[in-house]
Amino acid sequence: MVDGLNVRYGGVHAVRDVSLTARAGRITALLGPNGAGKSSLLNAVMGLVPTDGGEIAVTVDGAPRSLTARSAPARARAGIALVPEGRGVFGTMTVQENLEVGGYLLHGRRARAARAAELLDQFPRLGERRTHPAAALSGGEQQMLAIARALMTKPRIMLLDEPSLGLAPVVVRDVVEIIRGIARDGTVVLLVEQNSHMALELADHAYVLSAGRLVYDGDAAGLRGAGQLADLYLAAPGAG
Amino acid sequence: MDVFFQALWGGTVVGVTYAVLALGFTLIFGVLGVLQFSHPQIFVAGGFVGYAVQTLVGGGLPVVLPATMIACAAIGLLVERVAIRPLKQSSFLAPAIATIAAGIAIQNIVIVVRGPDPVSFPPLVPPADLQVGGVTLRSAEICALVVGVLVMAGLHLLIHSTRFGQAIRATADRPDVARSFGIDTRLVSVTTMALASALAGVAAVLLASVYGTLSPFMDTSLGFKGLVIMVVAGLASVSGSMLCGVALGVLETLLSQYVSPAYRDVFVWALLLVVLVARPTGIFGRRVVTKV
Ligand SMILES: Nc1ncnc2c1ncn2[C@@H]1O[C@H](COP(=O)(O)OP(=O)(O)O)[C@@H](O)[C@H]1O
Ligand SMILES: [Mg+2]
Repeated sequence: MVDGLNVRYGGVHAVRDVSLTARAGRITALLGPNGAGKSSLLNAVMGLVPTDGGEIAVTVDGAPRSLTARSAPARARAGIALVPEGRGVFGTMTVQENLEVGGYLLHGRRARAARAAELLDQFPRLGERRTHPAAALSGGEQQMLAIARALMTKPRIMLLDEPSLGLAPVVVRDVVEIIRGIARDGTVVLLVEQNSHMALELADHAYVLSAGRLVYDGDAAGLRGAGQLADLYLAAPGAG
Repeated sequence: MDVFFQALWGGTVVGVTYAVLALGFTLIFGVLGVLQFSHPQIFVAGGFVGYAVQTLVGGGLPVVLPATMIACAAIGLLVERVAIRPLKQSSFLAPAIATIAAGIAIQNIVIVVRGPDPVSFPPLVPPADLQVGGVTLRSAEICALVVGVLVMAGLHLLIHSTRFGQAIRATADRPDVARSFGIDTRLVSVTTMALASALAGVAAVLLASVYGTLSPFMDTSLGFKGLVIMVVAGLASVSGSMLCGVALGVLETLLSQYVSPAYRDVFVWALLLVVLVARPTGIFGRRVVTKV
């Protein structure tokens, strides 16, 4: 799905020749320390930051389709949805409105309202807060909202950028269950986490990124041993 | 007492037109992240387009208002294309300064075409007076109030009850996230620019017909008032801008009535300073979106 991808910000080479594949119905984790380039990679897949070489493609029913040259809205239409780092809820808009924006590509006001109602059922906490501005929600509720918003269009591919960031352990439990459910429904899940405990427990396959380069590509189980991930982080190739 | 109510009425009417002008300015700042300093000159150009349409073609408000709105939208789109879009990436300051240049250009074109002197603005509705108590309500004033309030109500509906309005607000809040949900933020920006500039045209036609006169140099003090209303009302609140616009119109009218017209603009500046110091986020407490 991602092949030889590079992201540069001026002089910063944030993602270097990264190739990875995430498959439907499975959870693929992308781990790495702060500043490794995880968000840059997800944002590049979403089309929010330009890439400098590399391919991004989605394969539906065996037919690969390149998205490399497409804009972010076009990628959204192709079925990619992002739960951005720090949640990125629209603070002045209500919970309901946030969901409606998530369903911007759905046809018709009625379709959007119906899908929003489904998700509010599925996320009762959000249902209670339907008319509150998103800025007034707790961190956990905002995370639920960011996830529910991304689910509005029933995307084929879910990109989640550190969904456990800043959440209490009990809330992280909920998020874990939700992500499991999303994958079970046949969605491609690409999960970025820095705090890898939860991610390794969830994921089938794991990649580790360090200083923009892939340093691990294999079974998530292979990383569960104590200290292994820390070793990988430390064994990072120099940032040269 | 009649003098007071007369001033109150006049100030309200003028204030509504300020609010219409300021909302355009605020919308552009919210969505494009740019202080559009040529907005007041688009107002001036709009006034002169309205003047030209009425004197050359006639037809009154039903013809002059849409014609002016279209002309102003077109000028706004040109400013976006020439002064804002090419510089958007470079810095926060560059596009703002480019719009100052654009404003000078627009004003000078008006002066080259029509000369620097004020013109008397023809009535767009049949002149008539309505007496309520001791207060005289002129037809131009009633018309300005009604049209101004309708335009604001329409804008409020657009922003708060339509899909496109949600796209506008999402883009103002988090353009990157908005794009990830399929919103064409470029299109939203361009449309906002056209819409907001058309509002400057509405304000120009209404205010010029209330004053009965139009000068190519109305831009400066109006621009400051737009800025004051934006800062005081906080960002992207239609009702807040409306309230502030009317309050400003009423206060400055009462001030010129009871103190001296010379203090009018001093008062506006003082108000801006006081609010900036006391409530940097605006009286209504909305955080002004800081753009990266
Ligand atoms: N918009 C940007 N402009 C310049 N540098 C950036 C930008 N975003 C990220 N970077 C840099 O790119 C590198 C990777 O950042 P990021 O992708 O956010 O890492 P992660 O998500 O793994 O913490 C960092 O060195 C960061 O400073
Ligand atoms: Mg990150």
